[in-house]
Amino acid sequence: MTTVGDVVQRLLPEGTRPNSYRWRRCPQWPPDVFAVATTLLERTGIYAHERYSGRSGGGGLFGPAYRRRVADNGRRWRANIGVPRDVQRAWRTVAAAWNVPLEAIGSRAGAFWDDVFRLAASADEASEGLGFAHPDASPIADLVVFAYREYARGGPPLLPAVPWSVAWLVPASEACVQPKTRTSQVGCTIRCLSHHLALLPPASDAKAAWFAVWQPSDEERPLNLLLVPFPYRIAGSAFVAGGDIDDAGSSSSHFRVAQTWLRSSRSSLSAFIARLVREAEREVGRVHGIVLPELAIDHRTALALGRRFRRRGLDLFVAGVVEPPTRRGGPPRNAIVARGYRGRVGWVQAKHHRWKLDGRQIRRYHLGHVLDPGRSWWEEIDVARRELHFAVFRPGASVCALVCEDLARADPVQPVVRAIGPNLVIALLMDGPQTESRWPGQYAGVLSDDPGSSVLTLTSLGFLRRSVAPGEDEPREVALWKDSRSGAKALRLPDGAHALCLCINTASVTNWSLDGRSDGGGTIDLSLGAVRAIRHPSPPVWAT
Amino acid sequence: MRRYDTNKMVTRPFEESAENRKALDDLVRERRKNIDHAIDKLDGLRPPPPPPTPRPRRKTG
Repeated sequence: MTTVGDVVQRLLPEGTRPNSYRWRRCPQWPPDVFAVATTLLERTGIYAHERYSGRSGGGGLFGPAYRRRVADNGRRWRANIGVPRDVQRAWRTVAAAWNVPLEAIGSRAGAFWDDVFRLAASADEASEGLGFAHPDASPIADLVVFAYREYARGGPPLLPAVPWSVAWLVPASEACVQPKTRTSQVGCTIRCLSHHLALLPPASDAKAAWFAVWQPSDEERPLNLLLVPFPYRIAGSAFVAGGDIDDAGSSSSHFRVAQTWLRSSRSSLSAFIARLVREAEREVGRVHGIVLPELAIDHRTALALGRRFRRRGLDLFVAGVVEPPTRRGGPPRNAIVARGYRGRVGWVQAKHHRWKLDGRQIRRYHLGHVLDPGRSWWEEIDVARRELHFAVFRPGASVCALVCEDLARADPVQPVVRAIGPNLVIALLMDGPQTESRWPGQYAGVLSDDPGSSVLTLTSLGFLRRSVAPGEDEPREVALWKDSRSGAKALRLPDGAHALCLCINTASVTNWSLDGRSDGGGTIDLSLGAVRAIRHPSPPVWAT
Repeated sequence: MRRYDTNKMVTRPFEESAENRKALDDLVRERRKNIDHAIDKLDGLRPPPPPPTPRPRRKTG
């Protein structure tokens, strides 16, 4: 039987001070305390007990006195770094129950769990602003920024698991703690309990990285994103049949996507997009970000475009690319090359799941002449080293970009995305019409519901055109927007247009945690303010 | 014991521009007092530097 001590010892193998191998004193670093307290709550599911899932009426714990107490603890801890007495007292309760099996107390609300809740909430309050670099940061938030600096310099970082976890003594192989930007406003889950910290699974199957960037005070609003649904045409020959998969009787094979469209467009693409930006700026004043669909360009072109647009001071550049194989003869990676916050931070995120094309899809996209509809075709890509990147792109707001399948597959991405709650999720697809009734609309709805992220999906016009037979009306829904406050909006690219410019409004809203704490209006909410079609005045042949 | 294992396992997930590095360095410099205060408060966060290696004694005679 697992005891309270087993859980604590596993999460804090060195003790509550480095190499102390003692656990009587409370850990000093709030994310460590948060990891222990939240793990105890999660392991037993006690947070769903009536005393903790409701409000103070009817014998519930979470009343004004509780909220004042944990807010005060958080304020003291944040400012002085020293563990407040009340938190130390609550920790002593945990230490005193060292040999008690979780099963014995797991379903009984009472003083022990009241103290565990107080530990989790006080640690969460103490971590306000953590993960962001800004002028009013607390010493704890400053220390985390300093840990990122030490990490970026290449030496042993101050916090050993940065950028995978901001915990100090809790090893990333046991649990990770990361900053958080949205609190789920629905349901009753452990994620609903905190505003500033997210408890994540160990950094094994999928690792989540967070990076702090300096936030200039002159950020502009709204966020204007240029969506370029390139390529505008995709030939069937871009889908190349590969070898059979050696499974007994599976009738499955591999396929690869060859970026044949780049042969004619690579040299003029950069100038083409630059012109689209200028055209868009006539309407919206300034473009803050550019988004290109899944597999639109190659890595080299993405880096060149990223550099070019970085000089313009873009907040975001997100493009789907084919990444060269990491070993000779190996499969490539289907990835996203992204630059955030005026080009100050860049990352590459690979797709975590292979696309499976079955007979139904092969017929739908008119690929039967290159791929046998009688077989299943798996995308031949490298899916090793699963990472998920979260970057700050506006003060208080984070973005996460996903490739196609990763939006739909629950594991291993969704629990991490839901825990951290990025304000904006961008999914790059090679897919059919982006409508609410199709799968991207449904999965976008899942994330806009919990944790309340705004979700943008984008596919290429070229692949969209493959979804109808010659002579039929071409669908034009290249993108879809879904946020927590309104229904999904399919975004059509009108005939003759080459891009859409989205004006995304930002507003500060209040999120509430399960224990009734407010975040003081610190959550950034993104909503679609306007959509404009952008036309290139003299498009090249490949863009018609 | 396993303090830096996680970092050894992984590649660096982010590439940072010189501009961001400079901005954060400036911030850290400006907040140095705050940061040093926090480091001092957290027992053992920054391990003490290793003791200097004693010089080998010169053999005489």
